Amino acid sequence: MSAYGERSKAITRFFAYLSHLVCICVLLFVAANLLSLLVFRAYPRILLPEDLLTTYNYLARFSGQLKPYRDEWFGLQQGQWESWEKEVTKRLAVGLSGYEDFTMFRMRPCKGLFFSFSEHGFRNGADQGPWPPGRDYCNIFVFGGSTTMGTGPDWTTVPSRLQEYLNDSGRLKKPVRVYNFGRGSYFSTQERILFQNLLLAGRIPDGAIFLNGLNDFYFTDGRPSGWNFFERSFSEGRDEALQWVANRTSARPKWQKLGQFIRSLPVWRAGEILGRRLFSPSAATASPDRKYKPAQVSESVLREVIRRHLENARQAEAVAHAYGVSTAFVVQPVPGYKYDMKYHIALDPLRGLGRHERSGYGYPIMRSIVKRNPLKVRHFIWAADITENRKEPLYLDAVHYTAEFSKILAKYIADRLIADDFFPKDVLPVSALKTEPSGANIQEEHGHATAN
Amino acid sequence: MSGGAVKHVWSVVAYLSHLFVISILVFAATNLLLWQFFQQYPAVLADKKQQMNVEYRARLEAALAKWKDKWYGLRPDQWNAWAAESIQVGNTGGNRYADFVMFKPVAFMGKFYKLSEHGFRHVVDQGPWPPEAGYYNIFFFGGSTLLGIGPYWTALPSLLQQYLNNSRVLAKPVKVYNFGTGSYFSTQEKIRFQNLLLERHVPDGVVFLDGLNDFYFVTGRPSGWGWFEACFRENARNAREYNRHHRFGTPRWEPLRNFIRSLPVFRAGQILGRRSHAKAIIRRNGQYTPPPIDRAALVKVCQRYIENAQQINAIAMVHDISAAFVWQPVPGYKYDLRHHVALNPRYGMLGHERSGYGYPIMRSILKRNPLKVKHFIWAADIQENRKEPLYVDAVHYTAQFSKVLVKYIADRLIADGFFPKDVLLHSAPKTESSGAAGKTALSERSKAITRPVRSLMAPGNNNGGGK
Repeated sequence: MSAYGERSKAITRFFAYLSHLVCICVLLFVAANLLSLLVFRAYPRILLPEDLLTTYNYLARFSGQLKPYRDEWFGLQQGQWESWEKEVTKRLAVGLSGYEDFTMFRMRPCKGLFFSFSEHGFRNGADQGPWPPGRDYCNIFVFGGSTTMGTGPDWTTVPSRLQEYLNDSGRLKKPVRVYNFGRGSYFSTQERILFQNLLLAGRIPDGAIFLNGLNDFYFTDGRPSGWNFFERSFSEGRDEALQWVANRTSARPKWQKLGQFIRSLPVWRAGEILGRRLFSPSAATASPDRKYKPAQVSESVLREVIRRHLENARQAEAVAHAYGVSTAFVVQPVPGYKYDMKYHIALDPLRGLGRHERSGYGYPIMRSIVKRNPLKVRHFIWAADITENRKEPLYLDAVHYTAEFSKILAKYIADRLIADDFFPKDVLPVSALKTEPSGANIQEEHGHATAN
Repeated sequence: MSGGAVKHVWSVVAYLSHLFVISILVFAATNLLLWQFFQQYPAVLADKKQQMNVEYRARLEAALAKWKDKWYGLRPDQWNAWAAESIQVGNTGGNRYADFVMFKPVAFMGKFYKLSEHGFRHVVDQGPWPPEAGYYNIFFFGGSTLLGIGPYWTALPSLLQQYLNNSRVLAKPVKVYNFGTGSYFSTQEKIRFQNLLLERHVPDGVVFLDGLNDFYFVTGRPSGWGWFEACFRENARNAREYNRHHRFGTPRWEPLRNFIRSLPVFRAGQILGRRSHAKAIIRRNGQYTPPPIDRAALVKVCQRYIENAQQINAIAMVHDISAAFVWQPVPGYKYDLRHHVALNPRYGMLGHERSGYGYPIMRSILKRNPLKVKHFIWAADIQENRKEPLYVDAVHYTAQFSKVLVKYIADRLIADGFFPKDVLLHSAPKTESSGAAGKTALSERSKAITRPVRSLMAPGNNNGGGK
């Protein structure tokens, strides 16, 4: 055979070996991935990161040490827990929120046994009013964060209890319909924008109630939850658009996406876990060092939060006034303020209040500011003191109210609204029942705030 | 199994493995080849918007060359530097993310474009930031017609400051802040104003220039909402994948799909598809055809603007801020389009013709129910009977027309008591009564500005509500 023939045979043989090697590597890689996948399916908890562990632990606690309280706290009947838990897990798996113009996000519509969110942006309550609101009712929109929205079943939320109490009290001439516009992570700026958007859309209630405090102090910088995601998406999108405009680079493959995919492969994940276990064994187990430590927040930051909160109230009332809508601003109870934490048995000792302790620092400052300079809004309700001297669990997790405490809070708000002439004259009875002046209501101490 | 069968299976495996490796090599080679091709001929990737940009610049260098310096308020020797800088600004993307308003202008400091990090465009003799009490501070809000696409000294706010300071009717120097932002309409402007108040930036006066973009964004959704929504959806999908991935270790397929879609082979396929689709469209209609007009949607736009103006007015009142609302001129309304030489017949007004249909509706609504704000200026009629080019492109004002518009606005502000008495040097001159300005229709503005807004709209225009 000629030298040329020998060489071509050698090249063919080399290519054959190479292709076999490539195929064997690919097959081995696929097999290793499949094997890792099987292990992960069998033992899913070895993969769980901190945030997902928290979700599991949250629910697991109600099947463990908090089991005796769960039905009462969530306002469930005996035997409902399993289906409630199933619905919560399902809701968390599909994602709770979706995009909305200007407010940035909203709760996604859904219809379940315990969680029902209307496509119009509110959470249903017991005996939910029609949409658009009907003229035969006194319609009230309630705005707030997740404590207003409620983490328990639909009928246990503060707005639902408020409607129930107002209608059962027999103190109003017209039936009341309350719309729960509470949304997770919302604070006063988003609530004000949502209120304005509803007015723009022609949805004009008789009254609007803003239940705030907790989230305003959580989002101390006044930026909405997830702003960094929006900012990152915006700059990524802009960069892509610029590449697209520049044309030259628009045909460049997105290698970082391939990297993301490779990092998600079971083999890679297995390697990560092995690395974590080998090089930082403490990370996999809970240790006292991992216990949440509250960060200090300066007084100037807290004062800025208060100023923003009050400014939002002022703007919301100004707009409402132009539409003839009554507004009330309620400072909500929070666990860090005037509540004996001995009774806060739902508090996860590892995670603590998780930055929600800030409202505990901010409330005394807000109280002293409002005492010195009564707010220039008509209805301001300081409900933060109602937890004082209560020697019982009021929260079902770090910050959300139990079904029973929601009732107490709703009653307190309702009584103050009636006493403070919140309702229009055609709704109020001839002699509105005056509640006794509450030492907790600091507006009362200084007389009525003047409308501006 | 006999030796022959084993040999046969082995040869099939060997054949398949060769085929597999060859396929990978061919796929990689094709991608490399196409990538090189795209590097050499980037224009094949250009779509309609890019072609339009190129065409617009080309027209200014050819058919519109004799106008360009005058329209943009430039000296002939400045044109090239200006053109280069405008491309540079374009390369920044123009906007950056901002909470609640979705976006605001990027920070950029050039010779012709001076965009502050605080989100406003500089004017000539720009006032300090934060604004100081020694000046009469005006925040001016609007879309790109306010921001200005020419040099910063030709933008409306810059000319307004200049005109007011030269008019010698005010006891205090005026400082105007140009908060114009491309694609903004009244809802975003309102929120931007509120954000500034939250940040403690309280001006003495605010002016809102609107009309064009309110009718362009007919649904009331901000520019780019679809993109934001898509990002959110993708994020939710990623979160779901992330959940699954962490629970069961399943791979995240979405990034792989994204990667595959970005490969040159895939892009080439997209281009081929787009080209055949575009050809079909060109065959159907050679020129731009305006979209059909929905009258009910236009009425809703008017209603939304009125509500926004009312809300802004209420907020301004509690802060003792004078608020004025200017209804801007647009090419589709009371302007002889024969003089609109900058209009590209191939692309037309690209949806901006809607304001031309919407303005008469707005006018008739306001005739029946005057807007309940103290200062409303109907400036939409000022181009009537003007037989000259007033726009540098489909909708943006020439430097000369900007001056005309500013003079009109400033005179009306002074005459209508926009400035408090302690700021005015002497009693303000009355502007001549202009029939074209529609003042007769709008002069009956109510003094009772606290009347609920819902009574403003004619019955039947209200789209429901609790009352």
